[in-house]
Amino acid sequence: MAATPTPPDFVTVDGMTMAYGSFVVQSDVSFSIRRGSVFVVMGDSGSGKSTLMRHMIGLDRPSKGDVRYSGTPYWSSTELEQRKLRRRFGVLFQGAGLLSSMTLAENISLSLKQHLKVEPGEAREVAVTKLELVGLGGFEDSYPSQVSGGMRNRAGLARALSLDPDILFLDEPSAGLDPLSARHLDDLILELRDSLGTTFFVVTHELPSIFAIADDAIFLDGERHRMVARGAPREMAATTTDPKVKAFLERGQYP
Amino acid sequence: MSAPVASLHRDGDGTFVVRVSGDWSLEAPIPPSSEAVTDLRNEVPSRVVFQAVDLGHWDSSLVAYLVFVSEVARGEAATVDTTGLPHGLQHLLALAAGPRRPTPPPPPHPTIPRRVGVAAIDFWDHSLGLLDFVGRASLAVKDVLIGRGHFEKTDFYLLLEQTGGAALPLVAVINFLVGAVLAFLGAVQLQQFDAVIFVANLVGVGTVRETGALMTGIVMAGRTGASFAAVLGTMTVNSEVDALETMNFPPMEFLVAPRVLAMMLMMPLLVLYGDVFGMLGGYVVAVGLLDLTPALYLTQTRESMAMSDVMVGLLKAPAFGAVVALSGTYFGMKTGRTASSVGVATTRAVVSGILLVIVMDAILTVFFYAVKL
Repeated sequence: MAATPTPPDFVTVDGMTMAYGSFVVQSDVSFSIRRGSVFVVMGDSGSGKSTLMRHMIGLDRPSKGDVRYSGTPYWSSTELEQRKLRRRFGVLFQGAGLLSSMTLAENISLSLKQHLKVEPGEAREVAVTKLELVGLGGFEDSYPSQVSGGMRNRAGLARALSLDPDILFLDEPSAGLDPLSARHLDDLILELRDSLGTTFFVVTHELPSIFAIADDAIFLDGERHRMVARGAPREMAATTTDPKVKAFLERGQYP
Repeated sequence: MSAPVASLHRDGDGTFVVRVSGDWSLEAPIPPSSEAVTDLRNEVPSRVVFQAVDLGHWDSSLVAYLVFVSEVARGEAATVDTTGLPHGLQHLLALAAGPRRPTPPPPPHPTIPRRVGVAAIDFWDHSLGLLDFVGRASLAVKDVLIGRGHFEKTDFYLLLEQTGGAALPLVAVINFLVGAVLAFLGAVQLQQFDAVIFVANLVGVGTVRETGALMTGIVMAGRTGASFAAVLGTMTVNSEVDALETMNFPPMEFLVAPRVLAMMLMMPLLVLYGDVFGMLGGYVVAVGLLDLTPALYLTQTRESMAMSDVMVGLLKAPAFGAVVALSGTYFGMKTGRTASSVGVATTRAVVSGILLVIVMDAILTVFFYAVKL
């Protein structure tokens, strides 16, 4: 990579190659994310957007390259340092990944009790507040299986927010949401970015969402297995020469 | 409904005409497209023309037929003219004619040496994986025991109930029946020497040293090992395990260690309980069918057994509990990302759970023989 840019970026991905066995999903992906910005990963289905996220949050080890948070490399750090870094992450998985044996409130207060050693009553209060934030007030004692897919997604977001993370990783947050809730979610993301200075890493292919929230973005191509575009979506749409990216952003016909 | 017809003929100028008529439906047989393709390939035309004449009802069957013929035609560098077809059909053909990814060649059929090789590598990988897993699980259990790991008390009590109390009826029935079978087996042989009373020795010692622990271990592999694999497998498929990992709840401490501990704690109690029912099975057969008096049978049972016999069974129990819990949780955590992989994980957990219980039993039996216990 070139010389370190100033001001230092919060997240830097350095020549990361992701592979399952001998199948290379994406090779040599490099980008950086400014603190307090919303970064969107676009791409066609199967291009490795979620895989990139898994490699960044410590679930899959990259076959080459690393990711640095405020300069600390994740994969070449010790287990203890990795734990410390993960403590600053909030993650929303596809399908939410809520623990099905616990109520929504218990899901959210789990890490509060563990990491902040707050009292159970206080943890529940925080959990209820977070649920209200995503429009799920009154559902704190429901189990994940008792609410709809869109509601599970929002509850997953509430859990990701529970420890006021520095960076939130969201995998398809608006999947299964009606247009109004999707809009509400976009507003919430911008609100959190502006009020708390939270950094966002969002995997999505919802165009309205991309144009509404993204400060910066990359486009992963699943056929060529590499990153093919980089920049704010509007600029990307105006300046890109890649027909696939253009077609994607204009939702138009393939030339 | 009139029968679907595809008539093929050639015009003088190198044009191949496919004329379709009648009602085309997925629910009724249609003319085979191979006929048209064979005819077309006999003498490759420069142009293929589709025409509809008296075409009644049509659905995907006709679309598929025409798409197949036109793909072959294009492959032979002939142009395809669809203007003689209804509008809807033309549009569908145009959509289907879009860019097409070349079909990857099918993987070669595995030869026997290849299959043996793959199976051997798979077995080796799983053996190494299981060893690595046992190591990490042991560390997690240690962390939990010295109070450093994360430990959810209510979850643990629930696990104790699931692995212990809920298994009581099954353990009782199986051990009772095995005890009864042992008594029968012994009686037939011992009657020849007029030594039926020694049925009590066979059942008593056999149950507490061997069958009590072994049968309970096998039952638990099928019951609880399967349930561990299914639960952890489903959690893996639903990203719940990933979520725990990123929330800094190591799945080893949070999911594996409590299950291993619960099984190691409950197995000795279940074995003790199973022993009682095994001997009861023998007692019922002996007293009911072999004309031994209750007092005689009970006295003989007590005199035949030493405390060390009972201890052998009870020492095997936690070991069996550990291997059952470990294979259940290992295959559960190894689950892929589909529903069917949960089924595979459960099957593997049960199969290797039973296998490992029996292997462990063989090793321990030899060991106890060697140390003269």
